Amino acid sequence: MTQLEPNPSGAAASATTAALEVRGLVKTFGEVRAVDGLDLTVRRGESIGLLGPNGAGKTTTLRILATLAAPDSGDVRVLGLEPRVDGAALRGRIGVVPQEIALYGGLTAAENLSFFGELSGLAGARLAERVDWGLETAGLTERRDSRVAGFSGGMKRRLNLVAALLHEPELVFLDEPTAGIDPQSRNHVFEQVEAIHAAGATLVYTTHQMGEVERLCDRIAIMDRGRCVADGSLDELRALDAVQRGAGVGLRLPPGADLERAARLLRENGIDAEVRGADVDLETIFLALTGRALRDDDTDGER
Amino acid sequence: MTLKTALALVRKDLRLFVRDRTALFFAIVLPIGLASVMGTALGGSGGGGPRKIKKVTIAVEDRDGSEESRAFVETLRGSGDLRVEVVEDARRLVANGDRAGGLVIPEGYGRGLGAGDVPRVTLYRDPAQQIASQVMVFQLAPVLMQGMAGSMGAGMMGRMLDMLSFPSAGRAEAEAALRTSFDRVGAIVDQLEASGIEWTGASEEGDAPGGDGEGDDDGDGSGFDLMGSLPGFLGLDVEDLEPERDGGIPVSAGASHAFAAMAVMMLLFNLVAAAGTLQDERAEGTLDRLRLTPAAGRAVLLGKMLVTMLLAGCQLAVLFGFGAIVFGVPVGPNAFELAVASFVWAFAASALGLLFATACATRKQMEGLSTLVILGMSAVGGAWFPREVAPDWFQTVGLVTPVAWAMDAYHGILWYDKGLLATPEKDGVIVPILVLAGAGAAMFALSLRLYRRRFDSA
Repeated sequence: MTQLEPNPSGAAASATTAALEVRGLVKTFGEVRAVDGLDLTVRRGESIGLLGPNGAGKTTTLRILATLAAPDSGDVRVLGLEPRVDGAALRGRIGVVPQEIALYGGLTAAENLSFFGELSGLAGARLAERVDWGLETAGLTERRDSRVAGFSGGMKRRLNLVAALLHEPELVFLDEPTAGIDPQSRNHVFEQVEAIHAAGATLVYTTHQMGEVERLCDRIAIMDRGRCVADGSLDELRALDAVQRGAGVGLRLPPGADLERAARLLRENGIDAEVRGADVDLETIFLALTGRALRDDDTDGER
Repeated sequence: MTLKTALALVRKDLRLFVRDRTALFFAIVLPIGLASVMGTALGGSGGGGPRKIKKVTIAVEDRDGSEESRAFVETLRGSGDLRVEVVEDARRLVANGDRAGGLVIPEGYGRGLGAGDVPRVTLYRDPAQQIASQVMVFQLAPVLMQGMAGSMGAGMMGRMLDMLSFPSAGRAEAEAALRTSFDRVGAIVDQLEASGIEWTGASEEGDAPGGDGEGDDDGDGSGFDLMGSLPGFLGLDVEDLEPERDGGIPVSAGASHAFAAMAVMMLLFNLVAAAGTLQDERAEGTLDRLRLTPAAGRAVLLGKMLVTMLLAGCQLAVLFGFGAIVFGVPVGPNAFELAVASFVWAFAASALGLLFATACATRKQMEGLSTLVILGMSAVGGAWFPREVAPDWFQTVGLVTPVAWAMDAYHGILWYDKGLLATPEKDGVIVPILVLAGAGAAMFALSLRLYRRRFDSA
């Protein structure tokens, strides 16, 4: 296991180039090894997509990185700080967009943002300014005084996102931030995520939606059974041997050819064939690397 | 088809019901548990024989100190129905709320008895302990009769004839006839007691001598009202000690107890519910969001503690304000003591609520457990009925609960007009308040440990 140099100082930590450094991370829940020797490095300003089937260990990894859970073993540096040692300092510099709608339904949109902003250390005019920014960013300025309980799923998701960004974190963890919302709200969330990335924040994005990762992330790490099984850009992943084998042999046809007829002919001759575009998409890569067997996550969401 | 659908729904709902442990708990365990507590407190457990009234302690002050008065005290002791405690100042103990009743044997008792008179003894009672003091009279009257009948018979018969303005002619014959009748009545009483028939339906004062022999509400035909009539004949003066208050504010023991009990029991329910929002926050994900802020950690639990205390303060202010205006509960003269007691009780109750919230894994589990514990503590601790009516061991168990100490504090302030500190006349309520403060601190410390283990770690 690679040992990282101790670097507890926040000032010194800011000088490091890695936003995340994880070596040999292990976390178990009873008999279940949720994270099993994970190695991962994320550079500052990078946007990485963390993919994996249910129970792959993505959420557990995020919780450890965000100071919400303690690892059993391994070395973790987040913005140069150890989460379990420098938790308070680290929490002021990271933002976490949780999978759940973690808002108070009985409070208004403005009251929710004001509350979380205050707990993040904002006060006075700065707090009011950031609350206004959050409402505008979420497209909820007109509904600032409406209770969140009456919001649609998309409105809640947008507010859930900006509530984690009020204190302008350097590193943002997004755990399936678009689950269960309509295409318009999803697109709105994408635009906000792209905006904070463009502003220099490092992003760690987990989702099951391959298209989101393709659009939002510079790099992709695929996790399976608590380990990182592949890590790189989309093109680098396409070039992996396992992906090439899993993708099978392509058959290029001239423009205007009847693709369905060609596939039917192949199938009639005992060849398993399917029609798709020229490039191997991320979902194909994902299935090639993690397999097609169903994964039933029975760890009650711990992973 | 409709019936088939309905039966399918029945099967589905039964499956869901038996798999819901909380529903099973509320349907089966809770009623049995509470019925057991109530049954144990009020009627004892098991056995089908006649109900035994628990022994009540009576404070006896013997101001005469004569052979006759000491014999009387021994007769009381020997009766087996009362626990006799010889004291220096029985009236003070009753006024202080320490005893439900106190019997004073006046000077000259022995002399009067020797002269054939019926010397009067005085029973001081605490109206706030109505059940205990009524039980005391029921048990005291037969003892008085049995112990004094032989020596006082002549005097008693004389008094009866005086009441009837009986002429002197034929008086001796009349007294002899009455004595014979009285002896027969005494024999009947002995038989009734031996057969286990209880003395019921009698008021200890104000009823006509002998009663009407009917109207008993237990339906067993034993509506013998001797108990309500005998005290006067036996020379027993009964005096209820109402607390003296500046300004003559009328108070009611019932209202005082009711508001104290509601302040204690309902506050517990509300504060457990308030503290339970910690479970809600965890389930809804907002707790994690709170923990992600720089100053999280113990601040989360401290915040919960403060808000539950604030809610408690508001609730108590409204409750006692209403009680003062509508029922004359004496809040004003004891505002400071009441404020201190309420603050400490709010602290202890909030800490208990947080203990439930941090000890339980889920909100449902917390609701089931807290309901049982709160109702049980309220019963054992005296919020449902005065602890004095329960068996001694039951009263001792009650002291383990914060409810008993809170009830002592509130009742001491509201009914007995006690201050924080003791005075030459009365005890203070500082002891129950300190116990509550200590219990609250211990429970809060424990809930902090549980919070860190269950909520604030991986």
